Amino acid sequence: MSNAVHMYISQSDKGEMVLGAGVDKYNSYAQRGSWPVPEHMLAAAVELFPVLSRLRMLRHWGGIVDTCPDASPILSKTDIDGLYFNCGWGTGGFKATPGSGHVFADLIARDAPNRIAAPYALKRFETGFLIDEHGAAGVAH
Amino acid sequence: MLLIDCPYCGKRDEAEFACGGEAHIARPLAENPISDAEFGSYLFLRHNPKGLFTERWVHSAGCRRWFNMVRDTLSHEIVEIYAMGSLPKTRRGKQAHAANWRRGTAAEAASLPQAKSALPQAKRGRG
Repeated sequence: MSNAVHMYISQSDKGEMVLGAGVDKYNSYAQRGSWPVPEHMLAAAVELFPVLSRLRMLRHWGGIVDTCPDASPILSKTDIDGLYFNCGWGTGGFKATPGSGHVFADLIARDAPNRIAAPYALKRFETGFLIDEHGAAGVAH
Repeated sequence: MLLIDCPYCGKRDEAEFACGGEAHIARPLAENPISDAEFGSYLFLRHNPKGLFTERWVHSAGCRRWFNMVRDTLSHEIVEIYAMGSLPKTRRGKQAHAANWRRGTAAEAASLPQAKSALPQAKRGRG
């Protein structure tokens, strides 16, 4: 992960390089990604490791990310009994899935948020107590 | 890749533009008190339809002027481009504007000046 050129890269067990970067700058359900996004990502990858310019593209993937105004997830009860939210993970969900599942199970079992889940309540968009982790870190991950 | 027909510069590549998100979000006026939840719906909640969406764009690497657009978020078809401060004119654009959940909210109703008849007597008599 590079904060300077905004992309991340890792090598799979098969030896392939796995790259990722940002999101489209507009709302989209097309699940393909607009060309400027991979273009920016590949430029950043080559800037970081110039040797990568010699690799061939094997496959690419585009999905949908759900993001919140403060770029933090929602782990919350709702006004409807029995309806709970675990969403808005944006680009950080893969890494946080085990942890969020553990906290979410606790929320459902007790029908009340624990110390970790409490700040991530949906109510924060009424009270204004947003979570400033994104601003503090200044990065996507 | 979008080819966007800037009303001032003509057709340009998407890379020259920035998207400003949902259009037609009016700020509630201070004279119309509303609850925190209703103000939160103005400040934080956004329409996110799969289909036609009214949104704002700016030609940031060109004329730097803002305009509105009706765009399909699934097919990326651009249905209509129209000026800031105006509403969509095409049938599909009007439908997209009307279908937004925000149209029925207290926050949007509070963005309009109070009708004179609704003002307290004392205020009306002043000056």
